[in-house]
Amino acid sequence: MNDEFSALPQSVPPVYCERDGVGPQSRRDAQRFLRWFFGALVFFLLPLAPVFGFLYAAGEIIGVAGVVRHQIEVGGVYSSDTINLEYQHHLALNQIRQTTIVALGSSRVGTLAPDCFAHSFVNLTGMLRWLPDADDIYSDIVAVHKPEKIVVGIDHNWFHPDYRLNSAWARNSRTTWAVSGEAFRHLADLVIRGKLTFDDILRVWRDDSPNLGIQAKLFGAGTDGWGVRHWGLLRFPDTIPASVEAIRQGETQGTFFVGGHLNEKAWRYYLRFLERAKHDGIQVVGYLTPLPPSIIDAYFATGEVDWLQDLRQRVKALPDHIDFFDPRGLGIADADFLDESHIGNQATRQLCEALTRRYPM
Amino acid sequence: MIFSSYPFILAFLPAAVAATLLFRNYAGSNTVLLLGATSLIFYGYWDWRFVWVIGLSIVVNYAAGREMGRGRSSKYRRRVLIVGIVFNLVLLGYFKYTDFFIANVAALISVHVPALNVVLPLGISFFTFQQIAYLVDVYRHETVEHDFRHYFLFVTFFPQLIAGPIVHHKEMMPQFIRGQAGRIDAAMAAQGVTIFFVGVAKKVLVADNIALFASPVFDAAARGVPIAFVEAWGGALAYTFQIYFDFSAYSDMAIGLGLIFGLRLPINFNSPYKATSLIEFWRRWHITLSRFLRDYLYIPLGGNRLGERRRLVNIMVVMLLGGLWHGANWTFVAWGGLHGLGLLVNHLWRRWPSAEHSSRFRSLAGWTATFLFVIVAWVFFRADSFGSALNILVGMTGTHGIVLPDVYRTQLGILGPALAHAGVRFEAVDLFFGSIQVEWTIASLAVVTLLPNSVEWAGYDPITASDRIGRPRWYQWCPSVPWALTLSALSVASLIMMSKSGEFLYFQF
Repeated sequence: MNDEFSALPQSVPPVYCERDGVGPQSRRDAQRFLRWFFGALVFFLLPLAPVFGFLYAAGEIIGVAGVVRHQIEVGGVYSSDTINLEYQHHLALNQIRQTTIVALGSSRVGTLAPDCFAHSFVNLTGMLRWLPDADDIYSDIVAVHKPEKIVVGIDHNWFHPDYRLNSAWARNSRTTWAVSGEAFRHLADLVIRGKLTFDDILRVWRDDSPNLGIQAKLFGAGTDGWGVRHWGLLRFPDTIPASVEAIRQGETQGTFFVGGHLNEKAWRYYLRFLERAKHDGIQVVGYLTPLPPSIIDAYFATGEVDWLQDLRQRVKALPDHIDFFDPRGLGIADADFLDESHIGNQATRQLCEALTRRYPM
Repeated sequence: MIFSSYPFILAFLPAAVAATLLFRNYAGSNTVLLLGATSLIFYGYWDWRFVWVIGLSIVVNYAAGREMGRGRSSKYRRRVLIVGIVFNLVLLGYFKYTDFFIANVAALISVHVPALNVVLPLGISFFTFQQIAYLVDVYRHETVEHDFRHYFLFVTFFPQLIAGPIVHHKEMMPQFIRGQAGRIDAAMAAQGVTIFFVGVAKKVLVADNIALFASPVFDAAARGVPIAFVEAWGGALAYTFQIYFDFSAYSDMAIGLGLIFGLRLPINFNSPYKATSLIEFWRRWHITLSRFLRDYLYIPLGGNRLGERRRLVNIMVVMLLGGLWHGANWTFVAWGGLHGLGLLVNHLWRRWPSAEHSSRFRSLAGWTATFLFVIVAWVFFRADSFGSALNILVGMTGTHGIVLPDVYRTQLGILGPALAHAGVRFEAVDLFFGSIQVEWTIASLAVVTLLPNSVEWAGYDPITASDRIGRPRWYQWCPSVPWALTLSALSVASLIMMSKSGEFLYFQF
C-alpha cells in the first residue's frame, strides 16, 4: 500500500496558473506568490506594532497573572477596554486573597468594600451575570478557594424570561481570553466610535500612575486588588428619566421588563446554587440589588409586575436573604445612584451596614 | 504550543524555517537531525518533563526494528516484535488508561481507590501507533531503517507529532533518502503556506466560534439540566461542525507545514460529511487511523477471509478499540461501538440486491441517514458521561418537550399558534442562541457538503505528487498575485481573531 510514495519524482511539479496547465515559469510564479503574500502580511501587520506597544504600555495586554502581580506589589486599579478578563481577574483574586467572605454578582455589587466587613473580604463583582452559568461559576470559585460566606447580589432581571446576555460571546466570559489580537480589534472600535481620542492616547501613554488599562489610566476607574470597583472620575449621564419612560412605554431594554411570569428555570438555577453552597458548608447571604425609587415607581405603575412581586416574595422567604429592591427604607434616593442601576459608594456603605447588622459577618 | 497560536506562527515557525535555510547547506544529510531537534523543542515547549517518554519510545522501537532487521530466525523476530508491541502498549496503557482501569476495577469491587492522575503526554497515542506499524512492517520484511536520524525525524516531525496524520514509514523514508526533508522549495512552500493559513482560518474563524454554541449545551447536560429539543439539536449540530472544522484545520496545518519543510504528508481528512454511507465516511474521516486499524488490527484478526460472520465480529472489535483509542472513557467505546454497529448494518445493506442501484434519491437518502447517524454518535463522543449523552439524545427526540424560543411565537406568524396547538411550547431557551446559531449551522452545512475541501482546492496530491494537471478553475488556488493577497487578508483576519483559540480537539487523544 502507498508504494506510490517510493516512486515520487525528484522534482515535485507544483500547481500551475498557466492556461495549458504546465509551464517553465512555475517556480517564478511561486516565488512571486510568496513575495506578495508575505509583503502584504507585513504591510497589514507592521502598523499594528505601535498599537501593540500602546496596548502594552497601557497595561491592556499583560494578562491576568501580570495584572494581579502588579496590583499586589504596586497597587492601582485595573480596567481593560479591549479584553474581557474580568472573570479570570476576579477568580485569580479569590485564589490569591483566600478570604473568609466573597461578594458575588453582577457589576451592581461592585462597590461592596472590605472595610464594611469584620472578616477578610474580596469582591467577585461581574462574575455572575447569568444564572444558567451559576453552577459552573460556583465550581470555578470553590475550585480555587472555598470561602466561608458568599454575599450574593441578586439582580431582579435575571428572573425574567426575556433576560439575556447580549450574545453567545458575552456568555462565554468564563473562557480564558489569551492576551492577543482581540485587543487590536476592540481598540480600533473605540477609536472609530470616538470613545478614544488622540489626546486620550497621549494621556494614557504619559500616565505614570499604578493603574492598568485604558479606562483606569484615563479616569482612575477600575477594579482594585480586592476586587472592588472604583468609578474614579467617570461621570454618568442621567439615564434614570429615560429608563422610567421606557418602562412606562412597556419597552424592554434588556434591563427592565414588564409583563410575563417569573422564569422558573432561572429560579431553579438559583436554588441549585444555594443547595451546592449549603452542601459545601458555605453560608450564602443574598440580597435583591436596589433600583432607583423612580424606576421602582414606574415599574409598579404599569401594573404588570406580578413576576417581580413573585420574585420579591420568594427571595424574602429564603433563609439569610433580604429584599433591598426598594432602597428607600435605607434612606437611599435616586441621587445616590450613578446611573439607572448602580449605586454609589455612600449608598453602598448604607446598604452594607444594613446587611451586616442583620447578618453579622 | 498549538499551530494556531502567536508563539508558533510568529516565533517558532519563522525560527524553524530560518534555521533550516541557514544550516541546510552546512548540515547536509544531517538536516533531518536538525528538523528532528526542532521538533523536539516543539514537543518540549509543552512540557519538558515528558520528552523522555518520546525519547525512550523512539530508542526502544528503533532498537527493536534493528534487531528484527538483522535477519535472525523468524521465531526470534516474532519474539522481538511481541516485546516491542507490549512495550508500546504498556507505555500507552500506563499514561492513558491507568486511571480509567483503576476507576473501573474499584467500581467493580466497590472500593474507593484514589486516582493516580497520570498526566497524558501529548501525542502519545499517535507516535505509539506509528511505531507499532513500523515494527510490524519490519517483521513482515516490508521495511527496516538503519539510519537513526531518519527514524528520529520519522517519529518526531512536528507537523504530525501531536495529532497525526499517523504516517507510514514507507511514506516518509523515501522522501528523507532523497533529501527532501528541509529542502525549502518555493513551489512547495507557496502551496504549503496556503494550506497552512487556510487551516489557521478554519480553526480560528470557524471552529472556535462554533464551539461557543456547542459547549454550553454539553456542559449543562453534564450538570443534569434537562436539554430541550432545539437546544439538544443545536448543540449536537454545533459540535458536529466544530469537530469537523477543528480536525480538518489541524490536518490542513500539518500538510501545509510538511510542504514548507519539503515533505508530503498523507491526506487525513477528505470531506467526510459528503459521505453517502458510513463505509464511505470512514474512508474520508481520519483516514490514516482507519488505515492503521485496517492494516494492523482488522486484517491480522482475519479481516474478511474467515467468513461473513467473523468479518462482522472483526469490524466490531476494531471499532470498539478504535473508540477506546480516542480516550479513556466508556463514552468513546460507545461511540466506536455505535459506528461498528452502523458499519455492520451498512455492510449487510450492501448485500441487498437492490442496494446496487444508484440514483440521486438513493444518494440523498444515504447521505441523510449517514449524516444523522454521525451527529447522534458525536453526542457520545463529546459527552463526559452516558448520563449527559442520554440527556441530550432524549432532548433530541423531543421527550423533554419541544420548546422553541419564545421570540419565535410572533416571528413565525400564523405558524406560531399552530405549533402551540400541536404541543410546541414557547419559553425561554437558555442554550440556543437564535438566528445567529441557525445562520452558522446552515453556512457550515453548505461549506462541508457543497464546497471542495482545502486540499482539493489547493491541488494537493500526496500520492502521485503530480498535483493538479490542467488549467485551474476560477475558484481553485494557484500561485498568483490575487490569491496571495486574498490569503494574506485571510491570514491577517485570523491573526487578529486568534485570541479565543482553544486547543485542537484531537490533541487530547
